[in-house]
Amino acid sequence: MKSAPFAYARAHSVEEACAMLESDEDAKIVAGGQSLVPMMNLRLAYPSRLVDVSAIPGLSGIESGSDGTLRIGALVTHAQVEHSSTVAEVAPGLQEAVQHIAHPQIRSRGTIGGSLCHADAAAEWPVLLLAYGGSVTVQDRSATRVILADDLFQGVFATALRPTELLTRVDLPAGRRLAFREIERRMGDYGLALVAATCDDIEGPLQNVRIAVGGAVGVTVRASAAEAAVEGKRGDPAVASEAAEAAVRELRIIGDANGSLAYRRHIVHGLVEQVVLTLGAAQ
Amino acid sequence: MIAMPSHTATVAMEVNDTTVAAAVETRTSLAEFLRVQAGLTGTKLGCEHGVCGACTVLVDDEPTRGCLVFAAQVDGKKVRTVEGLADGRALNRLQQAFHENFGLQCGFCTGGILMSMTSLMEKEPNPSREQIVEWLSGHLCRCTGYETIINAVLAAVAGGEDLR
Repeated sequence: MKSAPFAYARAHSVEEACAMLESDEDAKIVAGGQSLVPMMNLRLAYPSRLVDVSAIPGLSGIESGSDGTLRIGALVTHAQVEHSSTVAEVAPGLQEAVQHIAHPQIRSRGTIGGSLCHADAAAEWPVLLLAYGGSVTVQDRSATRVILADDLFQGVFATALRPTELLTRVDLPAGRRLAFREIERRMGDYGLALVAATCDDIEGPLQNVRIAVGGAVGVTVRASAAEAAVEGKRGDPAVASEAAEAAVRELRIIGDANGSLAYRRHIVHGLVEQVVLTLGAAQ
Repeated sequence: MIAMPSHTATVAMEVNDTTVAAAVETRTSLAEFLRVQAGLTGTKLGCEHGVCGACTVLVDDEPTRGCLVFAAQVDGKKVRTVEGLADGRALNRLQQAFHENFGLQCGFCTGGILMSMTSLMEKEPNPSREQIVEWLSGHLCRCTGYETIINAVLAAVAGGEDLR
């Protein structure tokens, strides 16, 4: 159906956008709108005002810093990440993961910043950011701060951002090996379960392993017991199986109409096993 | 006394090379703007939450769900719809291929699919069957079973890059 009425304003700077957020506590930021607008059309969201940040200069672009850190502007679309030569060079595997986000017709507009702020536990970017151990830069009118991925996801569709802050940049560390798996019923659907894992991209046993799980959980989380089961070991079948057991034991997995609890546990188990084996296969 | 915020916006965009300007409610979707203000009803509104793909048009050459973007967000941009494909009554080659390969039946989904496939062929002049299937995954068709659509696109691709 049609969204409820709202006021609309295009911001031309971060400061202007933050001022608009300060003046109206029910305002929402819109960039690509690929998560927010469906919620408005379904009347699940009723913002009083949309602050359109898509024309703010300086929030787009993908760069790799001197230490290799991948810096992705908040307005960068999923499609831009998917086709970026910089991303292909410094974050192998990331583009294949991004192709799981909805359809090409959505990836062309949806942004990385919007997806992370929306914080849907069934979405790909939260799982990827958490597995990489990246961070986001957020700004309000008076200050800029960095929020680590570990601190970003606070609850169901809830992040550590304050209502007057705007996410401006996403940083992903260099030198990480990524493995990503997702189960979706149809191409482009939200994942019933998705798991991303990273480790240092070096020879030998797996170091600094991070495993993040989404889809079958209410909030995107790390599977720390599974990480501990893999840390410093080779990603062989015995270790992968141990990690998978640990993950289903430690996580609060939930079932719903799209998949029972038993099924979700089964696929989380399988996906954790697969990502560990994938990390191991490259060592 | 707090001033009531305005729920209307003046919007001007270039639709198939013609400027269309109107004052609309801010909640007017691009698809509704195209159908009502521009009078171009080839763009259909189906699910209105981005799943079915019937409203897909090109905004600044990028495939876009007409239901997931408000007309106000498209102010100053260039939009292409299915009405812009044919030259008068002469179908372009992609449309002709849909016609010849039974790529449509009721036609509700067809406008959106044609715009997606136009975008795909502009980005990738020689797409594989897998790429066509991936792009088609963003569209629902309840008539054809999709195979005839894939065949139609493959036939258009086989005819070369120029779709005129």
